[in-house]
Amino acid sequence: MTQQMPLNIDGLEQYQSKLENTSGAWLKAFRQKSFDQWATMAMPTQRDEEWKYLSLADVVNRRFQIATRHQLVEDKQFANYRDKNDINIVLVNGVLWGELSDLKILPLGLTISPLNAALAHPHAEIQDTISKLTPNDTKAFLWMNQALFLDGVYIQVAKNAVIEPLVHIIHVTSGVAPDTIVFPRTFISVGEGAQVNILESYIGFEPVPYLSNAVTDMRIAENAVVGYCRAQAESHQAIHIGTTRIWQEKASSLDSFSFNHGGTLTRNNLSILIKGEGTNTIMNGLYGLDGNQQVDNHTLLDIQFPNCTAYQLYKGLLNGASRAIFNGKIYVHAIAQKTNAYQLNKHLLLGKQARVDTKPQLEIFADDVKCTHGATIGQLSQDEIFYLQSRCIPAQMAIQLLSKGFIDDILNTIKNDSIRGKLSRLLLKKFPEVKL
Amino acid sequence: MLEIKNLHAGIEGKEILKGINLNVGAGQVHAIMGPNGSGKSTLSKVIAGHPQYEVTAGSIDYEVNFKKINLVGMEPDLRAREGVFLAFQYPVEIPGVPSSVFLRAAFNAICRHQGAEEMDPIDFDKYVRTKMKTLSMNEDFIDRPVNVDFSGGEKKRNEILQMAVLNPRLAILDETDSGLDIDSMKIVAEGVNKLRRKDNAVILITHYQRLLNYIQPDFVHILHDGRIVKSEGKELALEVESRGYDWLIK
Repeated sequence: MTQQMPLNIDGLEQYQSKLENTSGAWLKAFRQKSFDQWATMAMPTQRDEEWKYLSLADVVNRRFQIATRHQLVEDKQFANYRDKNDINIVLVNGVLWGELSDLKILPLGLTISPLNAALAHPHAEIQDTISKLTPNDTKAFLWMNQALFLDGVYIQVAKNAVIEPLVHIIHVTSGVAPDTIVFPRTFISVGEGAQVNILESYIGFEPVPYLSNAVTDMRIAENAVVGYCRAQAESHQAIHIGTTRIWQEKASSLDSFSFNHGGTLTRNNLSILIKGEGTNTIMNGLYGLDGNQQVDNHTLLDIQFPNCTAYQLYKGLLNGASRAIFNGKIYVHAIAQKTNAYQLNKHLLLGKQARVDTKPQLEIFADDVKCTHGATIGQLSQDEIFYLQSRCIPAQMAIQLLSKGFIDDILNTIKNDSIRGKLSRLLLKKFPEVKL
Repeated sequence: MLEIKNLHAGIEGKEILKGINLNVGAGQVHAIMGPNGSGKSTLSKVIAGHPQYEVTAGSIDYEVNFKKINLVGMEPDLRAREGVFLAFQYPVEIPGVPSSVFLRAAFNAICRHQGAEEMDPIDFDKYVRTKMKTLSMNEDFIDRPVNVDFSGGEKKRNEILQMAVLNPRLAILDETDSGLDIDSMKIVAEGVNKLRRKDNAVILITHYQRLLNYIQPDFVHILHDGRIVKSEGKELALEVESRGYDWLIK
C-alpha cells in the first residue's frame, strides 16, 4: 500500500526513481533525508500560529502531478522579461534552458551552471551553507522541494568580482497540465568583496492552476555588496510558495526587494541570518493585488552580531477583495549591541473589500540598540485629495497621482534601473488607474 | 470679485460660521484676524470647498471674467481652475510624487480648462525655476516629493510657489506666517506682493499683525465665534496688536 503523503502527488514513486538515477551520492542522501522529513509531517493549517491568516485547504485537497516537460511554449509576453542588457538565465519548469540563456559570454568572475552539475561532486560551500540554513515556517515546502527538485541553477560570483550587468534569473512555468508542481531551486554564492545585482523572476503565462514551490539559498561573504530582488509574477491561477534563505557575513551589504504581483495565493518566507559584525540589510517589498489575490509575506531577520543596521519597508496596494498578510520578525540577540533597526509596513486600500492582517514584530534582547517599528492601513485621506483638488487637479486624477506616489515611493528605493523599470511596467499594466 | 452673504457652515452638524458677510473687490487685500477657534480656517476651507464642511445657509458669489458663479456646491478643483487658490496652514505631504509632476499636473489642468495648449515639460521646468528663484528656493526642490521632509518654512514657501505658478485671481493665505522666521516671512511677503495686480485679490488669514507690516491690507476684519464683529482699515490690526481681542469680543 502506498504511504499517505502530506500532499497528493500522482506518479511520485516513478518520479523518485528517475531522480535517483541522476543523482550523485551526496545529492541522493540529501534528497532521501529531505523526503523522510517531509513524508512524516503534516501540511500547515490555520491552527499553526505562522499560518493563522492563510488557508492552504484548497492546495491540500488537490491532486498534483510533477512537471515532466521542460521546454518553453513560446509566448509573446516572454520577450518583455528578456532585456538584452541583462545577463538572462532562463529556467523552464525548474531546468536551466541554455538556448534562451546568456551563458556563452559571461563577465569575468561570474559562473553559472545547472545546480545538479554543481552538486555532482562534493561541493563544500553549497553543502555547508545548506546544512547551516535552518528551515523556517515553510519547512513542509522546503523539504518537499529538496526531496523532489529536478535541477536548478547555481550562480557564483568570485572574490572581488564586480558584475556590472543585472543577472536576471527567469523561472518560467510553461506547457504544464493543470495542477502541476514545479520546484525552482537556486543557489547563489557571492564571494568576499564582490558586487552584483540579481533579479529572480517567477513567471507563467498560461491560464492553468499550478503550484510553484521555489527555494533560493544565498551566501554573502565578507564585504560583499548585493542587490537582490525577487519578483513573483506568476500567471493568475498559480499558487506560489517561496522560501528564501540568506546567510550574511561580516561587513557585507544586502539590498533586497520582494515584489508580488501575480498568482492567486502566495506565501513568501524570507529569512536572513546575520553572521558577522557591521552588516547592512535592507528588506523592502511591494505587493500590488486585485481580485481575490492573497499574498502572505513572512520575513525574519536574525541579528546575531553587533553594529548592524537593518531597514525594512513593505508596502501594499490592494484593490478589489484582495488580501495581504505581513509578519516581520526582527530578532536582536543579546550580543547584538548597537543595532539600528527600522521596520514599517504600509498599505493603501483601494478596494472596499480588501483586507490586511499585519504584525510587525521586534524582539530585542540587547540593551544598547535603536529600533522602531510600525504599520499603517488606510484609504487615501480626504485631506490629501482635497489638497490636490485645491490645486486644480480633478478628484479622479488626484487619486491616481496619490496612488502612483504611494508605489513610486517604494519603487524608487530600488537602485538598479533595469529592475525598477521592469517592476514599474508590470504595475502600470495591472493598475492602469494609476497610469498617468 | 467675492461676495459672501449670510454664510453658515459647519462640520458634523456643529455650526462654526454663523452668518458671515464679506465683500472683496478686485485689487484689494483683506486681512482676517481673530482668536483661536473663531472660524478663520473654516472660512478659508469653505471658500475653497473642503468636502468635510457643510454650508447650511448663505452664498459665496465669485465673479471672474464678467461671469458670476456661486461657489457653494462646486467641486474644489473646479473652483481652483476658476482662479480660487488656498495656501494651506498645514500643507499636505505627498510621498512619491515629485514637485515637478505635481505642479505640471496642476498647471496643465488650468490650461485645459481655459482651452489653451498644455506647456511641454522643458518649458514648464524653465517657468517654474524662474519662479523658484524669486522665492530663494533650492534647485533640488523640484525633484523632491511634494512637502516630504520639508521644513516648516520650506512648506510655506512651496505654497507661495504654487500660487505664483497657478496665478490665481483670488488667493486665500491661511496663516501662511505661522512658524516662519523673519527672513522667510519677508521672502513670502515679497512673493505675495509681486503677485498683486488690479484684477486679483488676496485674503490674508492671520493671528498676528506681524505679516501685515510686509503685506499692507486695505481692510482688516475681526472674526469671533463665526461672525465678523468689526471691519476697518489697516490701523485696526495695530490696535489688536496692542490691545488684544478682548475689547472687541465683550
